[in-house]
Amino acid sequence: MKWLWKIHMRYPLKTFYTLIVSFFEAMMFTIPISLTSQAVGELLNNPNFATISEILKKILIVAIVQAFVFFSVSFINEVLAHRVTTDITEELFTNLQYRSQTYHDKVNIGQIMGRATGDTRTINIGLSPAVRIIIGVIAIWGVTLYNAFRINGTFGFLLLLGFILFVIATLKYTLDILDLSTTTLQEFSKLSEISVGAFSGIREIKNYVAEAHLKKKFAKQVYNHMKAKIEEGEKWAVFYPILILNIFSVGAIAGVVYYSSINPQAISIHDVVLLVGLLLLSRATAQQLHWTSWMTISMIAATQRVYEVIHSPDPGMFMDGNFEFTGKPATIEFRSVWFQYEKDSPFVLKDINFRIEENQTVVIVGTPGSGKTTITKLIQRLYLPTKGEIRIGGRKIEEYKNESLREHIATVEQDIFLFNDTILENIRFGKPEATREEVIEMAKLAQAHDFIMELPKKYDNLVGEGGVKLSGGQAQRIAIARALLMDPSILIMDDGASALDAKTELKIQEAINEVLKTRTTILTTHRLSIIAKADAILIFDGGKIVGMGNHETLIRTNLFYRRLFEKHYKLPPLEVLQ
Amino acid sequence: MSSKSLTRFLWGYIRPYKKLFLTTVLLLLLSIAISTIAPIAFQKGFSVLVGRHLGAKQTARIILPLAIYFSLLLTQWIVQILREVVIVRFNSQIIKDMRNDIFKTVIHNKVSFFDDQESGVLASAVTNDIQEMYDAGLNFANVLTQLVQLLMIVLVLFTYSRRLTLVSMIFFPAFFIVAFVLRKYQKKVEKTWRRNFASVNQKFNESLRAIEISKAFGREEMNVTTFKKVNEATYRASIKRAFAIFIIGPINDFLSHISLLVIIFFGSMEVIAGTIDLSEFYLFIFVLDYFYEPALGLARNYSRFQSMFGNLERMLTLTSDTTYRENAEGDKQQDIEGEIVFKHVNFEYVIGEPVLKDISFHVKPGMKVAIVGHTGAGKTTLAAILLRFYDIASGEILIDGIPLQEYKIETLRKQIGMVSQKVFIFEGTLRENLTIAKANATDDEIYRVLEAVQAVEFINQLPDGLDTYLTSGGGNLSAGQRQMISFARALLSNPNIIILDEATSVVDLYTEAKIQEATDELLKNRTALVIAHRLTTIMNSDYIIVLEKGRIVQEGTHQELISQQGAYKEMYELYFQTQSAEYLEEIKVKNK
Ligand SMILES: Nc1ncnc2c1ncn2[C@@H]1O[C@H](COP(=O)(O)OP(=O)(O)O)[C@@H](O)[C@H]1O
Ligand SMILES: Nc1ncnc2c1ncn2[C@@H]1O[C@H](COP(=O)(O)OP(=O)(O)O)[C@@H](O)[C@H]1O
Ligand SMILES: [Mg+2]
Ligand SMILES: [Mg+2]
Repeated sequence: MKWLWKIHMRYPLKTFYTLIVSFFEAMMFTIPISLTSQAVGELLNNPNFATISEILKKILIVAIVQAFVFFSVSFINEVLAHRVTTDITEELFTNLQYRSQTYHDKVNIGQIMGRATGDTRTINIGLSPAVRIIIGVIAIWGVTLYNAFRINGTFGFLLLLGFILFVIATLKYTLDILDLSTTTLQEFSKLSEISVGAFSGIREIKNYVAEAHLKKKFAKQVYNHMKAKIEEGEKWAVFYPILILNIFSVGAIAGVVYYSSINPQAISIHDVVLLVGLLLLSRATAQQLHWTSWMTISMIAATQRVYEVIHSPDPGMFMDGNFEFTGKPATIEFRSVWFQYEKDSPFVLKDINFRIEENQTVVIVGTPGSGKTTITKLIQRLYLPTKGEIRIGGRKIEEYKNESLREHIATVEQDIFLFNDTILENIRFGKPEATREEVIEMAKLAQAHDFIMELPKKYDNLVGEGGVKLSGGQAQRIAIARALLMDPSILIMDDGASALDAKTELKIQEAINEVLKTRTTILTTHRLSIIAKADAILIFDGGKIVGMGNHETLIRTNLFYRRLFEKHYKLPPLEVLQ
Repeated sequence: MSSKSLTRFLWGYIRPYKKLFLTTVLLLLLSIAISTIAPIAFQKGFSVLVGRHLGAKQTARIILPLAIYFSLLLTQWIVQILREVVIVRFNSQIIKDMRNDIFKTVIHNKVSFFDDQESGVLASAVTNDIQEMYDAGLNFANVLTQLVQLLMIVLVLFTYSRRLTLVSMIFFPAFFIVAFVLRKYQKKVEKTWRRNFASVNQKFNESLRAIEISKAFGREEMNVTTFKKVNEATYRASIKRAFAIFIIGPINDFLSHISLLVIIFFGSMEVIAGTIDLSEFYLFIFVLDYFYEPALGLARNYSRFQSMFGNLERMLTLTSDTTYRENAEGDKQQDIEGEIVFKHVNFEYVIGEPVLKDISFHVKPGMKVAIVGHTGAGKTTLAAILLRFYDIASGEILIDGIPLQEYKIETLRKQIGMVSQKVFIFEGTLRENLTIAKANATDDEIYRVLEAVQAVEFINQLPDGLDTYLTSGGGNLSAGQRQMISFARALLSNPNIIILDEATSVVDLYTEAKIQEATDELLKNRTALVIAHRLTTIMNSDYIIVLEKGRIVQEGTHQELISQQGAYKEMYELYFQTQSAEYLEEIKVKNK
């Protein structure tokens, strides 16, 4: 709440204008009522058209002024509400962008999306009319009470009692419904999650004929959501506070009329009409309070949910350093590095030590899950080591500026992510200012140019969500071009050729051979042709390095290394090193 | 879309809840009746009061109308609650059915339908769009009631004074003209706003999914800047939209004040002339609110109703249009032995861009066939059409001598298992990810297949074993581990034909060899189509098909192909040039 107020205070003028003018605007609603009562009074006592037309003139003026004030305040209020929610969305977005990879690993995208879109809209709707209406209600009730007291003390007191009871009951009622609203929102998020999961995994679902299973799962959640919604809706319908107000206000109307009829001297018709008008208006505003309170409640629930995300702790957060990495010297060194993805989860890397010299090509091999990809992610500083240190260019990786690291280290990831955008934009993702010519040049190096030219729209072809419209090897080549375009001093290729046939792969190798000579390259691969040519090979098993060296030595001496190839090649005899 | 079919469509949803619907209507009518009578009761009381002030002595007569007025309003409160409860139930049930139907329709659509859609947008159609209909539905009921209410009041007022009734309605047309003029503008801004809002969603979603690569390429700042742009554009669109909606409130207010003015003007003339009495005159002022509420409601919600009908129409189209529906006319349900025949098959994703051209081959049951070719040759596509993810343009595919499309689609897919090149992991536990292939699989069965794909070791090391929660896309597993899971899943479904599309491409050679040994055992006597780049895998198969740019350029056994000049031999030689132990020796020499 405080947070919401802080965001509002970025726009003090609008905020105060809304708050103050809402009050007067509501008061103005009561003027025609009092004028009407005057008219009725006049008509009763001395029917005379001159006084009536006097009143009519006033109504006209009020009508014009009121329309103007009403519009300005409601519109400015709405503008303010949009401003604030736009700011909230942006804050959420920015906040998430700069959170650590550790945080993002665990985050549930469906849940966040629910907050980013659904909840911000709820906040918007709650902010816009709700606050204004509440202020208006206070103003109108104030005028009504004032008049009631003026006419008759006891009567005014009874009415005040009614209002107070109503406010208390409303508060309690609203708090009761808050939980239900939160539950409904949660059930709704789950619904989104299931459907996104189903639609993005559609091939797998069809492959296993799991449509029925998903339909059932979805239907179950739809049912849960419906139940929550009905419960909330019913609770909402039984707005018992209004009963209190009804009894008091309708009772007051009847009472005032009755009282005036037995005692015409005490209350004039004029006052009766005035009070009846005001009471009707109060009753109407109380009705409005019904849905307003509900919106306010949803707004509070939604604000809390968004606030929760923005202010949740980020265990993997670290400060950016302030050294520029110039790309030289591009050495990489791991010193007793231990790493776990989460606190309490097992160590994925255990006591890793190695050093890669500038312009070397190093290959990492190992069984699935042995930690190869993790190494590459640590070099990119997506995570910091749990223990030990990583040095790039002789300096601790923490000390560098993020930007400078990104500029000089590029990756072809194992899980290629392509945006549902054109090929051109996908390739120049890391360097949006690159020209079409530069992109084409890199695509040629990555052996992607030929197939791109065969696509209906060439470089402007859309690749589909996650690149569905490309074959696996085509996507990989786009990713290679994307990394090469960065012209990095450290190039990481995490299984960047797994979907390529031998011929294409060889072509790429030949093409980039020159390029690689002037940069440090880390590759994870199972292709012997690449492995054998590397300057050094690191063998991983279960998060540990179990061998290091070049092919010739390893093939003769390292059991793990030999094991990798024994099924495929005739191996030289095993030697035991002294 | 004709309004008739739309009504029929809606009625289809209402019918199961006829009772609720009727109750709703009844309660609405009841509440209208009360709202119409209550002001009259008040007027009767008021007229006594006026008389009393003028000196009449009938105080007692006032009690009855006032008591009626009071009790009517309390009844009204109860009716209103009942009404809302019933509407909530009624509306929720209908929404539930609609949601289920639309999900059912979409999930049974063709794969090609999904190729062109973003899953987030689709999901939003079954969640947000329908939620909007719920809200609009509630409002719709309200506005409709108010309109009927208005009609009733006008009728009653007519009996008091025709002239005054007509006069009080004088500004109605003006209001509707304003609303009508605004409507076009509203429609336009609403559309822009919707588009903008959707793009904010889409950007947000994508940026979350792409967070790792964004970080790797240092795009955070840039992302924030581009997001700001769409976000601000949405803000501006929202303001325009707000203007279109909010301008109506003051106009409505203004007109209602002017009406008041006119009523007082003409009313007082009549009172002075003595044609109506003061209490009747006051009745007109008393009910003035009834006049402008429905108009305001209608004008405010107009765009909402429009989008509700838009949504309904879209739903109707989506659920009744069969263009995207998977062809399901086949009904053969027999067991498959595993013979596959392709006869002159042509296929294209985009019309005019053939991907597979004149493909013919014959696979006998139990055979292990390798499909080789460079990337983009059409190997994955070949697998996809065998599963009927896409329908072929021409030619014929036969399984056990029966055309593919004559099989019931479920039967077919249940008996053909595929490990796809793009592994997909559902968010959920590891067990759920496996049992999607076989809902009632026992732990023994599960462990048997996990054993075969060499996954038991790592799964035993996971803190929660099979119940480990996998995040979306399986992000907390390594890529090789995901492939193993995907492979295990296919084995668990126990298919008669299995397609392995680069199923072990990111697994190391040693593990791959072990997987091969174990799965050979499991897959004995089943037809297997194996897509792979590793020659060792290929050489082990009974038959080899070489694809190049969508055409079969060679086929036969390894021995046959190796003795021919052609793509296969070239590939074989290349492979041995670069992957063999001899080649390694060569490098060594060169390096020295
Ligand atoms: N984001 C993550 N959160 C938790 N555990 C992870 C995550 N990514 C990988 N792991 C685990 O870390 C281990 C090493 O994974 P990885 O480095 O990807 O292996 P690989 O050698 O196959 O590339 C695996 O056991 C995997 O389950
Ligand atoms: N869903 C799709 N929509 C349009 N084109 C596609 C789609 N999937 C694949 N393609 C195109 O079809 C060709 C063959 O792809 P694919 O069968 O995946 O090749 P591969 O032999 O590498 O498995 C490629 O040129 C690819 O771009
Ligand atoms: Mg990996
Ligand atoms: Mg493929």
